[in-house]
Amino acid sequence: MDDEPVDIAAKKPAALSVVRPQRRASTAADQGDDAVLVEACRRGEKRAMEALYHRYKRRVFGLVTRIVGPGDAEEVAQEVFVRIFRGLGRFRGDSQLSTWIYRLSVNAALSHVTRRPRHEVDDEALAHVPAPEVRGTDPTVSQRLEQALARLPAGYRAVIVLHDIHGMNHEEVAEILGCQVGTSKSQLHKARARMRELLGPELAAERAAQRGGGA
Amino acid sequence: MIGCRDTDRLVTAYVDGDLDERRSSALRGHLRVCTRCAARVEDEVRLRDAAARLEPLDPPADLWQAIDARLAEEEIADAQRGRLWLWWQRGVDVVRRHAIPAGALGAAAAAALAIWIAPSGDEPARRHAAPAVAGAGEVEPAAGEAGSSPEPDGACAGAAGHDELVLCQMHRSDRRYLQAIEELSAALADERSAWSAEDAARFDAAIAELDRAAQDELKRLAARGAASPADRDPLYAIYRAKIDLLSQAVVGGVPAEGR
Amino acid sequence: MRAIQATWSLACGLLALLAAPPVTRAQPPSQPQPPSQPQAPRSGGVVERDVVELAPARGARIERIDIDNRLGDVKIEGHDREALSIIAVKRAPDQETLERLKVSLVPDPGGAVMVSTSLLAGLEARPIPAGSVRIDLIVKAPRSAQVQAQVWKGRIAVSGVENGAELVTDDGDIAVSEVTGAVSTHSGHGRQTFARVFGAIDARALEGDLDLDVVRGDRVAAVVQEGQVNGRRVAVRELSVLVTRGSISIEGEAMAGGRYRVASYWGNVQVKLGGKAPLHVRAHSREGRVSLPRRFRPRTAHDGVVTATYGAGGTAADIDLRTRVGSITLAEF
Repeated sequence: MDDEPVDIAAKKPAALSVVRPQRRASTAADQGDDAVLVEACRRGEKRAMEALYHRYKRRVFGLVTRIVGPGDAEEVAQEVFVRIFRGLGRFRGDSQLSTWIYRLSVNAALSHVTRRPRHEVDDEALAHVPAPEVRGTDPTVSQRLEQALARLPAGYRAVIVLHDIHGMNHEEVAEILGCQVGTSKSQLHKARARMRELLGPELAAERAAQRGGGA
Repeated sequence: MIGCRDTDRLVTAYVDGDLDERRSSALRGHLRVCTRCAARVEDEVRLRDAAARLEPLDPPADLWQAIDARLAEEEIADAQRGRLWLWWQRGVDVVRRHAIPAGALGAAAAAALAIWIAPSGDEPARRHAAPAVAGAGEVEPAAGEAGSSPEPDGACAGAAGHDELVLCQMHRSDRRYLQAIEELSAALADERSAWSAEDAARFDAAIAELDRAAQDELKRLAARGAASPADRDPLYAIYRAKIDLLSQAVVGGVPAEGR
Repeated sequence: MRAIQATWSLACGLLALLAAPPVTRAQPPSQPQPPSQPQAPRSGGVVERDVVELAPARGARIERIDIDNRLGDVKIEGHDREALSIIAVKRAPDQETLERLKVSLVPDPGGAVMVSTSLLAGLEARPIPAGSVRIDLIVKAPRSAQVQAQVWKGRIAVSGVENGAELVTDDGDIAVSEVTGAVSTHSGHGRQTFARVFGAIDARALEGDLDLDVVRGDRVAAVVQEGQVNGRRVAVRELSVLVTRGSISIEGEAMAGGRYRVASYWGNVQVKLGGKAPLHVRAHSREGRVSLPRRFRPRTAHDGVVTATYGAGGTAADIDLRTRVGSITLAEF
């Protein structure tokens, strides 16, 4: 907790915008493409299936890795895609394909987590978390983010991954997780609070660095 | 009046732009004079932005091969599955590929829809989502909202004429019922192990009675050769009763109470 | 009685087959009016809108309405009159096919009216393009009439009736609002919503979500194979929600001596039950977490089954929550 006197004029909250970084929203063209691909996949066209895989592989793998950890991610991602292709016959197009795929991914990942014996992620596993590329002005928080994420309870992890990392809004998160919008909001609030606890030292360091160097 | 406790409560909404203008303004006012809360908000924004900037993760290059191989395995497994299931799937193809003229529906249609159908020709088993069976939490998640649409939907879009469309819809309806029954029955095996012999006997008797009724109804349908949705009402009522019974047992954990 | 029968059979004769002439009042022989001009809808094909009204004889009432429409949607609204009014909107690719679309009204002496639709087999049996024919019915019925409606691929919407309803669709949504009485539903595929229902609900769905908002009375029993169930402001004596695949979220009140069973095979179970009655809770999740409010004491847990009680004084409400894969949350209220 800080006890410095506040000089309002001098303290410009540097570059902190309250505007969410925008992810590219899915356009009608994207959805049209998806529909064509899905039809081709239903007919069993191998090329279409591979194209669909490539289109969604990063989203699925990213989500799954951050929920189950890098050790089991490949196995679970494989399971997800098998379910996608075998389930396409039943996908009705009432929701977007991406939402459906996310839902399959989250469910498979959470189910995997609840099935394995509950224990803390051990340090060895943490050490293998791929270090993200360092960008921007806050290296330490980014570097530690994945590790902190791994220490959240699975439910909180899912909300942060969907909302903050994959850029879904609360309506989408609620649809994917099968909960109310209000639940998604409160879960996100708690998840971020927990992340803040876990990353206390790194966040404090960056605040100090900012103050030291900034206007 | 917005204070520190309110800030703690509202920080996430504020930072994500979900807070109304009035409270946002009040909160900003508080932030000007409270370094602790200003730091809190800064932290939240940093966390959010750091998460948003995380690089996408690429799966290993050979993941696709692994998926492809798994799908092939599952297809082979499908081919070896119970004959009843396979015959049913072939029934789908028979109905779909041979456009049945409106007048000649009758017995052909009823036969196609009846569960005992001799496989004709050598159509490859369609790639079809096998009913996911719970054993180790393998059940697929709810597909979510389903609504009705005035136009023929994807599954029956191939139907050219009105009669063929209705036939396709009836087939799909049959399949939905049977799939639900199959899934529940498969999950039943696990639940039964905890029942008393008495409960199990009572349950089995109730199911057997429904199965007999269903068989009778199917024979009657095949004999009558009628093929309209209304004709299947009695059969569907039996299916619903069976699903009720199975759900009570499998999901509710209650073997049949005397009905 | 004979007077009523006479009126009914006259009405029968006149209304048995509604083809072209839209009769606006069921009166003893009158000039049938010329058919309403079929309008060409934008997408091609023809549309015709027929209106029929059926008034019971003095002193008689319409006790029950039975609708069987496998060619489209059904919408039923209760009104304060004793008469039954039906608007049938028929769509067909051409005039000749349009004339094969029939709506039939058959009253019976017991006070029930059966409404059904059909597509007559034409003499030349010209094949009809898929999805090009439909009949949608809008029915205004006396509030006290019992309602039964069966559609095939179509929606059913019912509101403002006071003696319950039985609704079946194979593929389509069911929407029930402001209804009193025993409501039973089945949908093979589609969403079911219940808003302000007083009485009892027996809902069955194969694939689709259920939504309940303000439901009071004796019972809610729901069996869903695949879909989510959400309920808010549910206050009934007996609750049984079984979902094979999907999550359940119920908020409402537990009554003294009430029994509340909420179970999912694969999905999360979230329940929030307030009220003054003491609660006795049993929660079992095989592969997930069970969360109960802290003030529930004492609690025992063995074999994954958690039991706890809260409150004292009076008959307890019995709450049984279970899931095989998923978490159970009994929320603070």
